[in-house]
Amino acid sequence: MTPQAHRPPPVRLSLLLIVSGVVWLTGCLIIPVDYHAAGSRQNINPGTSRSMLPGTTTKDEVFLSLGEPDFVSDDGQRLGYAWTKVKALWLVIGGSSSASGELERSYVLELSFAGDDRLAQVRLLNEWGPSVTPSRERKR
Amino acid sequence: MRKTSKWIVNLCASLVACWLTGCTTPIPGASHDLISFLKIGETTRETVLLKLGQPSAIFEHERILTYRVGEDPRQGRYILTPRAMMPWQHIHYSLVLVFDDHGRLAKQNLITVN
Repeated sequence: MTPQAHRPPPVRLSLLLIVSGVVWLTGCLIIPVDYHAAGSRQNINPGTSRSMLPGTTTKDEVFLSLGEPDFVSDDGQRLGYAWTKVKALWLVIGGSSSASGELERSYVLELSFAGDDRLAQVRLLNEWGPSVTPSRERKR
Repeated sequence: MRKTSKWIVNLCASLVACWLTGCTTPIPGASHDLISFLKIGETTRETVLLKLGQPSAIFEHERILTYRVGEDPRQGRYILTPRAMMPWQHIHYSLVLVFDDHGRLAKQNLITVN
């Protein structure tokens, strides 16, 4: 009698078994996704900041390439562009009832300008939730 | 009898007309050449305000005006008013207009946002 070779199950099958087990044990399922939330602008992403060059890019160029900002500081020297992405879908099953929803992450690309209206600083803010509002900023 | 058949013909004609037009509700101000009047160095701020109405935002003491623009495949582009909730929903473009010191259009761009 020859010993049988025990091949490990394929990774996908293992993953499916684990997910099924977790759902069965906890009644909760989380599916990772990545798309823009309804009502969010879609022309900005974290990579947008790479095309913004401090000391070179002017405020007019920012307006003309990104469009109307979502936030502007009182002195007009800081602009904020906001967008929201759905990062996961969740589903909870308990007895006869169930609930589901979206897990959102919100971003703001904050652009600060110097006195000559050239870009001075670029910051990317992000938070879990449907919105992120930069401090000392007024919403348009 | 003749009245009934005429009524049926009218109904059919209405249905065909409705089918041909797609039963679309006319969008106020929608036009395929909504912004074709904009000419760099010529169009004034007053002309823009008269033709497009109140902008969605004003920056730098009216040097920069922005409009939010929607688009319908059949009826063309139209100006939208920003909403507090879901501010970019149904908005396809952000129109940015930069004026010079004399109030004439210096730069413009129609940025696709959705």
